[in-house]
Amino acid sequence: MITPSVSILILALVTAVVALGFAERVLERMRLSSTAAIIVLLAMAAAHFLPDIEFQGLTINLGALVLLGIVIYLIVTTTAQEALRAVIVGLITGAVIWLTDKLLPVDPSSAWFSLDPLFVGGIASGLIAYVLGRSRRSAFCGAILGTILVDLANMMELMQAGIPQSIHVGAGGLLASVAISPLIAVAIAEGIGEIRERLHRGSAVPSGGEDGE
Amino acid sequence: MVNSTKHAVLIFVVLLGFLTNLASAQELTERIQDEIDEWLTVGEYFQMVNEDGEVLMESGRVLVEGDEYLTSSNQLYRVVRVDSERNIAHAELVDTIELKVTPLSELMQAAGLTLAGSVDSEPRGLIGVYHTHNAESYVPTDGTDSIYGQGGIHKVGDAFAETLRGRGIEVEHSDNLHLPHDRGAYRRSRETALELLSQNPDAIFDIHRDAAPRDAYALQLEDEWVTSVQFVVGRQNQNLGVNREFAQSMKALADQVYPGLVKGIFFGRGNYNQDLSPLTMLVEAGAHTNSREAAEKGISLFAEVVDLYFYGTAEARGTEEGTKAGTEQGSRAATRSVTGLLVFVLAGAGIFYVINAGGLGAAIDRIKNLFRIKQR
Repeated sequence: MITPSVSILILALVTAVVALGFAERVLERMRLSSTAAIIVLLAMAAAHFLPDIEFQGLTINLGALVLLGIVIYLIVTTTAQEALRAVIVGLITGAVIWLTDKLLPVDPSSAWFSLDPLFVGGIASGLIAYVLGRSRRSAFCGAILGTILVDLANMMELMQAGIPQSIHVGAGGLLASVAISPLIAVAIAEGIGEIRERLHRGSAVPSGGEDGE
Repeated sequence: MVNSTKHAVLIFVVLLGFLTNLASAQELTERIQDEIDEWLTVGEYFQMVNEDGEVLMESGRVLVEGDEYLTSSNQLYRVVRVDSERNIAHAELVDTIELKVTPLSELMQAAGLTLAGSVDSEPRGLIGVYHTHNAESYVPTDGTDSIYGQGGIHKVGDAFAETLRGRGIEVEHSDNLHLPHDRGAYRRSRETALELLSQNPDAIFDIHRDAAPRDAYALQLEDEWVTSVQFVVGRQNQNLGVNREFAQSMKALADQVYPGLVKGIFFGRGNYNQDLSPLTMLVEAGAHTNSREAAEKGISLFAEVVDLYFYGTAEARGTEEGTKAGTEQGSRAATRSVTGLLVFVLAGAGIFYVINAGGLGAAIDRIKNLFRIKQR
């Protein structure tokens, strides 16, 4: 049996704490309280070890369902305009992932575009959400919705072709693309906002989205 | 905001129209991919040649500057110039490597893992097997190079798994499909790799077949024709140091048992999900021009090497006979891996600190204040 050494365990623990701290911070920006954010993260971690739900060729990890629940909560509890924007970001993000999957080289090690497909959703959602109104909330929701929509589009494509393939959503828990993408998206929306704010500091107050960034 | 929403709706409607017509979209994307893909059209091959014009390897993969290849005679070449018109990659000799079998225990140490239990009492562990590109098939026996569903590569995976099981090793051979065969396949197979890793396997193998002329992989062992195998190691992953050691050790051991069975190791861009664990390996089992039976025989021989490496000889298991060279190689790989991980952790902590402080300026102020207090 292979077991991790103590030093690597400590290092992994520190990494996990930093990553969870970052994730908690992101969820706080979604106007969740600190306690709620920690509960969500613990629920995601715990759900990863629970059996997946299988439905009509779709296998959903409960951790992914937790994320989907947050998206629905965020969309329902915001203004109609912000909700529409989040959905639009999700749809465009889904389209961007789908198109890059289809149009770019099959192997991620392409000579002219070597961005790992794992990060496309997060980056696209962060940029689109920023362009459409500098909204972290839209970035967060868009990344999750976009990633899941692409899985659904793939499922439809395979159903059309008569291929009995079960689509897995969020099977990797906190390492799955559906969990990584929203963190990247918020970091990008936040990062661009921060840079732009510094460039324009003192000259004008940037127009922000509904979530006030 | 109203204008941007209008634009977004317009873009969305156009994209939706595009997406709803999947058939024509598929046709269009196939045409575009033919133009830009790094895999050539079936029947076309890229050649890597050395300074004397000798062909080092042939593949349907488009080679780029910086790609490296360790030949069967352990000469490491690096691509320095690419002639895209003639599909030729000119490579220069970097080094001739004296391969050593780095004992498993050393490799584990390099990866920050340890083997629990003694060599003798340890039952044979679990090996994970999956296929990112499920459709890959063998023309002479499958009738086509690609079957939309479970292609011939799944049967090659079965042969690999059965040989291992026959030697008392538990094998989890995932038949998860990651279709369609597009850029998202590695993102989808990541879920499968994580599922397999959650079962704590000793190693996981992603088995593919190459697109190359028949002779590139054909190998005659005594009076039997089999296909050789080739390893692919992604250079864009933090486990590269240990992955490289792992691949080179497997080749070194295979060279002792079945000379020529491992035709080489290709070090390309990308990570091929090898960032998830240091003991993951992408194996090319023959090419589409070889028969599936030959590929099944070749991969079965490779399974014997896997058994030997993980559960076989004392040297490979890393008992007191472990070689000094292996230890040194393992230490170097360990240093690289731990350094990479440390940089990652520090970068993460830095980003977290800046966000927590409320911005870069505030973070710098905080640090300055900290020093001021100390100076007082």
